[in-house]
Parts: sequence; structure tokens; C-alpha cells
Amino acid sequence: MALIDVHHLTKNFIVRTDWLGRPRNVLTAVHDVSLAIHSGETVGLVGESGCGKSTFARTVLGLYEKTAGTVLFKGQDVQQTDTAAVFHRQVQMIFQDPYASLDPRMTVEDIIAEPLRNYGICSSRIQLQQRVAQLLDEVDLSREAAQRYPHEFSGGQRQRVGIARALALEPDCIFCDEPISALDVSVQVQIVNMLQRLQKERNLAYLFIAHDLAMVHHLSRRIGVMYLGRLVELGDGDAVYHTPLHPYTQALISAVPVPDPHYRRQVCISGEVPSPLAPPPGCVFHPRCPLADERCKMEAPVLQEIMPGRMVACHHAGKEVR
Amino acid sequence: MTPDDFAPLQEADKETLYVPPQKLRERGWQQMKHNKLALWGLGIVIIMTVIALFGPLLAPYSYADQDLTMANAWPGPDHWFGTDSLGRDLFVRVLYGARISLSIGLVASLINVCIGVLYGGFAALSGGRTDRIMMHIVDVLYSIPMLLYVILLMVVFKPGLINIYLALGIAYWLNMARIVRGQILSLKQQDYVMAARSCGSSTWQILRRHMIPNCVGPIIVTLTLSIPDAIFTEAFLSFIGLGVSAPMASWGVLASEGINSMRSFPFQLLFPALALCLTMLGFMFLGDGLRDALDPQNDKEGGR
Repeated sequence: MALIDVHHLTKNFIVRTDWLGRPRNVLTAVHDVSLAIHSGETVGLVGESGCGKSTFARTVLGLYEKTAGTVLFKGQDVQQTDTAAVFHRQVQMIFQDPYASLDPRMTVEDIIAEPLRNYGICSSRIQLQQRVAQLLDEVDLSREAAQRYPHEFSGGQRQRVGIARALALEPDCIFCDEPISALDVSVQVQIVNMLQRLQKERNLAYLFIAHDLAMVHHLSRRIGVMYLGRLVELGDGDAVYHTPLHPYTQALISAVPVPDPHYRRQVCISGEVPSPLAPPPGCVFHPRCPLADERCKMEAPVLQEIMPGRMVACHHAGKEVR
Repeated sequence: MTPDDFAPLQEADKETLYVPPQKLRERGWQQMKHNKLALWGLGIVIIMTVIALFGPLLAPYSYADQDLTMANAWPGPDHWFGTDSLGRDLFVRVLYGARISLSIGLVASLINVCIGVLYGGFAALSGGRTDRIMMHIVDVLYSIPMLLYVILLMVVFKPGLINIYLALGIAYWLNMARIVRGQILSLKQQDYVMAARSCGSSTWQILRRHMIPNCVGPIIVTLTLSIPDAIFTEAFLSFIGLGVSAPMASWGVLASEGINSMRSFPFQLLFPALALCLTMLGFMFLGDGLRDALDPQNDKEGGR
């Protein structure tokens, strides 16, 4: 049984309302996405900026109210209040911007202690301080960091404070919303390394959101690819990375930097992502897709399992792009 | 990348921080210390407050003591700022005026803060249609010249100290409401508020731990900057005869009395006007300095 099972999740944002407050412009940020996360595994989620990766994570967590779909936690619907309480405690989040995700007016101790206080985990102040010190050790920060403010730290150190906060409740799963994309490359490795160590020690599951495909491949057992709010490909990490089936995935992988000046990209896509306010008809990728034909303009492809454990939403799945 | 690159850090490699920790308040003060203008402002405000509190007690005359034989005396050793047309000592009256003017500034601004914070905070937190309607009301009120509004209120209320407090307090909260609303709206979008929600904080806990502490800075700054506004408005009201009534003296009253004899006895206008200007400048400088000092992101040595 999957730890977290998301079925047909959709999230609409109402951009404008008329004078009576009825929706006029609706932005579909996440469209009918289903994804399962098993305990102890890392699921990578990639896609370019604005494709709804973060919104997906936040909607699953209930930070945004979902428009449609269900989220199951260990087989129970999280809409039930008792499941919701467990779910919110067992699934935590690490945010992208380590500057914005820590309250500038709180000391590191207060920041890390916030979840502990919320759930009344430590009864005394001394216990609380000990727990915070323990968590600081886990993320390789010195204990004297507790009395400091976030602005005194570097980006990588702040991100570790964020990780310590996410670990405080001993969660089963952590949603990492681009945890490394705001950091220097050298620091990225430290953070990724730490996340892997913690995963091994605690049998954590990760939903790892990023746009760096190489890093996601390095980390994830399974990879999902999103485009314009839709999941277009999902499968085993190696398989998706080495034999991508969706033309968008092929383009993404071909865009991974290669240290060879003579290397030519095999698949290039041109143009901009269409506005999610007015997604194109048929397959949303067709205006940029080198394989698009008449059928793609009319009929939206469904995410289908074309090989065991391999889902693709494309009429031409597997055709080589030349 | 080799597997070695992914080995955990050794104990000795743990990053240490060399700068000793510092409380936010201390850091704010450090910032203020480097800001000369803000220090001057603070100095002026403190001196004016001390004068307003204790000045009249030490003076040999009362603000209402008349000595017609000494009417319109020029500044000298007996009367440092001279006397007015009824022979009242101008120095004592300016001291006493400080008390009235500052108290008006402070009380009116505090009423502003109370109304503004409640109104703006409620609008921002409820959001949606409530927010829109509440802010449209503010927009409509904003389009009325406030001075006109205050004058009308004063006509209804009858001149007097307490009524001035009320009129100014009721009229000038709009700005505060807007600032608090904007602040809370932007805080609602902050990642750390999201983070707080995702780790289980209730709305009330978020309000108490994140919203209020992060709003205090802008509120204090707006408060400091609205004090001179209130003082000036009161001076204007007194000037046109709607302010405090004689023999009480605010700086506005003194200035309006002084202007009658501006040609023959300019000092009667000069001293109250000077006190007024100095105080307003003091509060403005202090407000600007506080704005810089209370922002924790604002770090001169680099930071972000």
C-alpha cells in the first residue's frame, strides 16, 4: 500500500471574479494528476517553472484547497479529520527559498521548536532545548546556532534549519519543494547528501521537486514529468532518464548540460509555455511538439501505462524525434 | 562526482559561526547609532517630552498669569521668549504648549493605531469580498479631504482638548488601516507562514508568532510619522479657531495669536513656530531611522 496516494488531483485558482464574486478567469495549475509515493522511496517531479509542481505539492499537503481529487494517506482519505491530523503531522515540507521560509524575527531555536510546540511534544523548556540541539546535530549545524537569527546564516545553513524543522516531528515523508535550486552548486551537494543520509537513517519518503533533471535522476527511484499542470510521463528513474518516451521529456533530457563543446542538442523545442489561463486544445504540448499532427490538435492524450510501471501521455509515445 | 563526495561531514567540519549572537533589539540600536539624523530626532523628541512633562512645573509663572504692565515685552532675562499682548510669559506658554501639542499627537495617533490595526487586520485576514468592501469604504473616505472632515467634526464636537483627540483619532486611521492590511496580506503569502501552517500551527498561533511581530515595525514607524501629522493638524485647527480654547495654549494657538502682531513683535510668532518645526522634524527623523533599524533584513554588513 502506498504511503501517499493522490488520485486525479486538480487545483484551479480563480484569477478574476465579476462584481458578484463569480469566477470569470480560472487558472488550472494542476490538472488531473495521480501519483503514489511509497514509504522510503524518492519520487522526483520535474518540469519547467510554472508547470504546477509546487502547487501540486502544496495542494496535496492541504496548504491550498484542492478543487477535485482525493488524497489517501496509508489508504485513508485525508478528508477524514482523524486521518488529516496524522497526515499533517507525518508529512512535512522543505521550501525552495531558504531566505523566505524562515521567519526573520525568530531565533533558530524558536523556528525548529515551532512544530514541537504545536504538537506539545516537549513538556519542559529544557526538554525542548535538548530536542532542538539534537536536531541541529542531525543537520550538521553547531548547537550555538540555536540562539541566532536566520539572517546570520548562509543559504545552505538556512536550508538546513528548514530541514531540521521538517524533521522535528519525525515524519514519514517530506515534500522537498526545490530545496536546492536556490543554493550554490557546492552547497547543493551537501544538502542532497544530507537528505540521502536522513532517508537511509529514518526510512523517509521524499517527493523531490526540481528542474535539475540530472540531480533528480541521481536521487529518485521514480520520476514524474509535468507540463502545464499535467503529468505527461511517469516511470522508473533510470528508464525515464535514459529512454524518455514523451517528446517533452526527451527535450528536457537533451537540455541537461553536457561538458562537451561539440555536443549538439538532439531535441530542441521552441516557443514559450502557453498561458495556463488558456491552454491549447488537444494535447497541451502540441504547439511546441516536433511530432505534433492533426490528432494532437484535437484529442488530448490520456496518461496510459504503455509498459509495466511506465506511464506516458502522448499519441506518439516512443517515436524518435529527429 | 565520486562516492567520497557524498560522505557525511566529520564532527570537526561542522560549520562554526564566528560572530557572537546578537539580539534583534541590540542590532536595531546599533543601526540607529550610525544614523546621525535619527539620533538627532530621538534627542529632540526626548527633550521635548521632558520639557512637556516637567517644564511648566519649574517655571516661575503660570501659563495664565497676566501682567498687563509687561505686555508685549521683548525677550530678556525676565521673560526669555518675551510676553504676549496680555503680558503672559511666552516661554512658559511654549513649554505648556508642548504638553498640549505632544499629548494631542500621541493620543490621536494611538487612537489611529487602534482603529487602523483592527480594521486593516480584520480586512486582510478575512480576505475576499469582506476585504474588498472594507477597503472600498476606506478608498471613499480617503477621497474626502481629511482636513475638511476634521473641521466638520470639530464644528459638531465643539472645540476642546478631548474633542480634538477624538476628531483627529477618528479621521486619520485610514493610512494605518491600509498599511496594516498590506503588511498582513504580504505576510500571508510568505513562505514562513506556509511553513508554519504545514507544521501544524493554528491561525491564532500564526497570528501571534508571525503576523504580529512582523507588523510591529511598520506600525511603530507609521505611528511615529503620524504624530507630527496630528500635531500639525491641531496647530492648523487652533490657528483657524477650532482648537483648544483660551487660556490653554497649544503651539497652534500661540502662533495664531502671534500672527496678529507679526510686524511689531515677530518673536511672538517665531518661538512657537520654531518649537513646532523642531518637534515635527524630530519625529520625522526618528520615524525614518526606526524604519531602517526595525527591518531585520536590512543588514549593513551584507547579509542578503
